[in-house]
Amino acid sequence: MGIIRKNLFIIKSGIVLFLTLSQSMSFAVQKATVSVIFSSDAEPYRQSYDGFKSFFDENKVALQVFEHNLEKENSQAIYSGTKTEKPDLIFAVGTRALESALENKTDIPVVFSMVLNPGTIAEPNVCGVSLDISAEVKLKQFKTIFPEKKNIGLIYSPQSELIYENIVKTCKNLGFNLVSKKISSKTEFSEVLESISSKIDCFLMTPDTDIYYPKLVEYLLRESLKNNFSVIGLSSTYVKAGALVAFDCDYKDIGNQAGELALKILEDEKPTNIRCVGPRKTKLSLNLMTAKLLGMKIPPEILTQANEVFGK
Amino acid sequence: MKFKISQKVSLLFIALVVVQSATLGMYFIRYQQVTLNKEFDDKAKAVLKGLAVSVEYSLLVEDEQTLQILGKGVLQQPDVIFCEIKNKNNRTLFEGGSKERQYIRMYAAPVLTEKASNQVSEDMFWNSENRQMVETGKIYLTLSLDSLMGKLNQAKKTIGLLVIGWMLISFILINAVTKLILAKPVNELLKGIKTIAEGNLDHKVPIKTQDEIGILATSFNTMTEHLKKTMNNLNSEVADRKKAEMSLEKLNAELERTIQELSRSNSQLQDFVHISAHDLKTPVRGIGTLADWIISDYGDKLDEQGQEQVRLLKTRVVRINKLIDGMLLFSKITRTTTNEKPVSLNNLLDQVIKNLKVPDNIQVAVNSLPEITCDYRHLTQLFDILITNAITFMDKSNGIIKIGCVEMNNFWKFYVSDNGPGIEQQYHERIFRIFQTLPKNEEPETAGVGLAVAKKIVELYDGKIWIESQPGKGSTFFFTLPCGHEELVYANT
Repeated sequence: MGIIRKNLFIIKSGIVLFLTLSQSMSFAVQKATVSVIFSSDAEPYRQSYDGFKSFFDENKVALQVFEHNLEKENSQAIYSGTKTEKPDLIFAVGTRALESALENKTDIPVVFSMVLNPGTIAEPNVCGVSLDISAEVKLKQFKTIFPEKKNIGLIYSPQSELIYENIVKTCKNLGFNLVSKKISSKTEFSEVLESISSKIDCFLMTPDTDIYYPKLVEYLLRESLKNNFSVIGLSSTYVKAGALVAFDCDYKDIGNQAGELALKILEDEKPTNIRCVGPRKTKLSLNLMTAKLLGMKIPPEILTQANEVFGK
Repeated sequence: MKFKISQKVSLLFIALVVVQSATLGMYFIRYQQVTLNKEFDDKAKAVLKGLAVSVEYSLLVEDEQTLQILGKGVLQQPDVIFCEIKNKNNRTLFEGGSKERQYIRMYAAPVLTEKASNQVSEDMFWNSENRQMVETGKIYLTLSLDSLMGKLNQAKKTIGLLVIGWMLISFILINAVTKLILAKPVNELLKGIKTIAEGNLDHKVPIKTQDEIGILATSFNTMTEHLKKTMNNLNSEVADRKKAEMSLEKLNAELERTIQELSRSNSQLQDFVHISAHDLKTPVRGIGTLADWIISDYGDKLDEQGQEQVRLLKTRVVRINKLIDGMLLFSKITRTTTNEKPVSLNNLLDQVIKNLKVPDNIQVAVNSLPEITCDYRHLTQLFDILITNAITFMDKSNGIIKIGCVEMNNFWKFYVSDNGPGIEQQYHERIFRIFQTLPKNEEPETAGVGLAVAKKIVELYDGKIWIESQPGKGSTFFFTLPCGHEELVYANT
């Protein structure tokens, strides 16, 4: 028994020592080399990168950064350049940057941000933060602001079928009546919209590039005013253009989120253990002019919560 | 067709105005064409652009009902006669109107719509700068050019009328100006010139301008003054010359008369000499015959002195005969052109020398002689006289007679030389006169006619004859004859 106790003590001490050492090792990251690949010069990408960098600053990790832009450099040239840069991590900002990382297979861990519909990623060294705010988040907030709106309209295409399925569940859970139609081509949009416009209180836009051409968005917004239904836009840009409300991402916070993931990887956590996550913060945008035209009143406390208010 | 100078100038200016007006007219018509075409094109493009914007959404969603409305609306636009809207797969979504017009112009434009550059991009969340225009279809418009053609025709008519009006005004102005500044002064100048040309040298051309025509009129007036003076001088000269001519005519008439008289006298003289010689010959011959009879019948009865006197009488008769023959010979020497033919003098000399029977002690050397045109008998006589003289008077045992000729400028210079006794300088002229002989001791008994005949023959051919001689050494007779091609004036025929 004494030997067993002695052995248990040794094992316990060993475990404590290992845990202590591993704990002390995980906080030992003080500097790192990161290759940042931008999809383009778009400002939101830059905001995301700022959030990423500020996270490391807050955690006192000195970053050596090599910046690349896919609009200015060739994808293959960037990845052959990483052999000399020898980064600890690649930060891919935007869909195109993620696609180039997936095309140029590498052992270096890749953390992405600002990617719309990343889907299921099979690569074990890739993880990141998507742009997708879940329908649940959006509809919950919408219900809070406009509790009387029950009939949600939706037009989707094969591209946004997965999102549609998610919305169906969410609407069921939240007590919304979903009026939806599937179209195979953008040419069907006006006809379908006309068929559902009288049955809906609100139209929910999905990030479907097969449908939402600028001209169609313009048409949708015009029709919304004509047929008295509101539109939940994809971002504040759409609210500014005439949508009633949008639940937008905080791009800097997405970068911050990605920074957290990156630090975990630098602290030896495997990317496979880290799931792709969505944005944790949303920004509310409202258009008072649209609300006025639709004959709606927005409570003042909601207005104070809103990050951006147009049409004052 | 004759044109006046003012008409020529007018025509030149009119031609220039026509060319200039035509060029300007063409330019304005071309300018109108370009401008109206551009206006038409701009209008058509504006309609096309407006339609492209209007149908952007309808074409994107292929809303054929709206496209019908928009298409029909466009067909209401002036000049638009046909409209067609096609989607990007070239399927016709709207077609209206008709293209059946004579003059049409077709326009086409793509219909573009904005789209994010990357379809799966998150660009649609914000106002991306990376958006592009994609073609969703095409619109085709056909416009009738009837109104454009109408405007063009109207513009052509207006410009044509303006050009014609401008040309007419220009013609009138040019005509008036050329008449005023050119035709009028030139006509006045011409009128003045005509008046002066008709003989009125007192007329003055009126001078009204200081230009070239004015200078010409001044010069013409000055010239008329000079001409008037010159005419006066000339008239007096002509009068003098007429007087001189009349005097000359009188003199010529007198000269003619004198020549005729001389010719008649000469002829009468020749006839007289000839007749006298013939008439004298018969009694002289009778005296000679009588002297012969006296000698034959009474020769033995006459003493020596008587016989000597009869012989002397006989000698004198012979001499008288010779003188008469010489006179006849001299009077017969005349020139007749019909007897003149080309004569080879070498042949002629051969014949003369052969006939003369030259003594053995005398050698006759003849150099090469030319062929000349003459009367064969004259030259035979001439050489015969000169060679006979040389033979007759030869005093040397080995006499030499040389005959030759030298060509001078326009004549032949002949010579007949001998090494005979020679002739004193004082007789060089005398020997060529008729019946003139040398003193007795210097000359055998001759009639003194030969050299005179020789001279007469040479002078008939406008030649000269002379002698160069040194006593004791010999004589050379020179004579000249023309080369044969000159026209000669004959004293007598």
